[in-house]
Amino acid sequence: MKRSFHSTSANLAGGPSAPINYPSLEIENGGEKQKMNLFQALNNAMDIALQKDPKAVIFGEDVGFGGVFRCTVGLREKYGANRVFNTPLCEQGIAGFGIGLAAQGATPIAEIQFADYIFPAFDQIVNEAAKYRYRSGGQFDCGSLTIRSPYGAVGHGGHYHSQSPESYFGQTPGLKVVIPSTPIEAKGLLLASIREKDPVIFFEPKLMYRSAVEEVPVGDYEIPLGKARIVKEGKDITLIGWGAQMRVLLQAANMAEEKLGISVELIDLRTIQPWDVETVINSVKKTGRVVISHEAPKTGGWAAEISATIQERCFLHLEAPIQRVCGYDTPFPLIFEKFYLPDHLKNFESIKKTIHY
Amino acid sequence: HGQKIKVLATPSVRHLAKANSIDLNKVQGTGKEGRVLKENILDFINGTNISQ
Repeated sequence: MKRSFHSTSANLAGGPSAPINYPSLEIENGGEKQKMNLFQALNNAMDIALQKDPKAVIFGEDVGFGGVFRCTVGLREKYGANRVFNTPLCEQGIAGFGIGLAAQGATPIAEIQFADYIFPAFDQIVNEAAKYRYRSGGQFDCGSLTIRSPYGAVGHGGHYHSQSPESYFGQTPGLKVVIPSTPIEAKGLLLASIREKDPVIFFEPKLMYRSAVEEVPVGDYEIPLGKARIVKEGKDITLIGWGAQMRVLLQAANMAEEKLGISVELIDLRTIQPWDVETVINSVKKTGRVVISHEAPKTGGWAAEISATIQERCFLHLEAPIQRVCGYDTPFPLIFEKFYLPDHLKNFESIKKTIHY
Repeated sequence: HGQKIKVLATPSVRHLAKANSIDLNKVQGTGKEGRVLKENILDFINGTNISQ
């Protein structure tokens, strides 16, 4: 059963209600800025994409009236029902339709209403989209396809409005997987994803749609895929995350610096696949300690991939075991969300343990 | 990067040094690329490792 909801109060995330001051990314020559929340920044990115690329189209369930999270608001009025339209309620169809459009040279921007409902399209994405170019020896491809989908905890999403399926897709050669953490990042990364010549799965942290607000440049800019961002420099421990988890980690980092008198380096991975191995290992070689955190369950989560790589590449620099602070290996619970999530306190404990190893 | 080069040592060697309160910077490494080996730590404890 699907239903939409809009309440995304930070209180429900399990953290304190006081907004934390998350460092904004400076866009060079960004020009004029406007206050936008995350869904408005995404809307702005898609507006630019439709305006500059006459072949760009947006489709999915309920995108016509503006989308259940308001991401496509006003776009049908501006560009017409031929370019922004509703599909039947069928995810496999949406993905297959997008692949077809891309193969014919259009720029499809497909929406899957919740990442939890991307699994009916799993075969189309993994067996078709990801392998299209390889399988045809470059004769055909669906590189212009972008699939957007809200992901992650939202306070009361239960089993089917809270999941983080990034590692299922990160494991598939031929796909790129991107997760932004702020409005400025979301806009630049979405524009880069739409123009990227590989199929991209773009997961949007639904908790941040309304709660994250920044001064976003109104012009056209891109943030390169496959590059992590060092949000905050530090020397004693590296803390790695992405998406909505970044604010949790900043809280944990601030707490650790205050209570343990250490300095934490915070890295936003941004692109899950291909991920920025260089930035991560250079940081770990400097600090010798690392904690990785994501909402998805621990077993088979993307943190496992990162920690295995760090262990291979930084073996002679490690001062302590690599820690993973993740969701538990259970379905995502409704009433127990607060206890399930890898919140700032769990991350703080893990940092403490790593520092005192 | 302009950062100071860390001493190279495996986690097990780091642990041995830490357990004996030894500063790895003071131990002469004889392994590949100057790695500090387990025997370097043991020699250091016995006072036979030439410190830098």
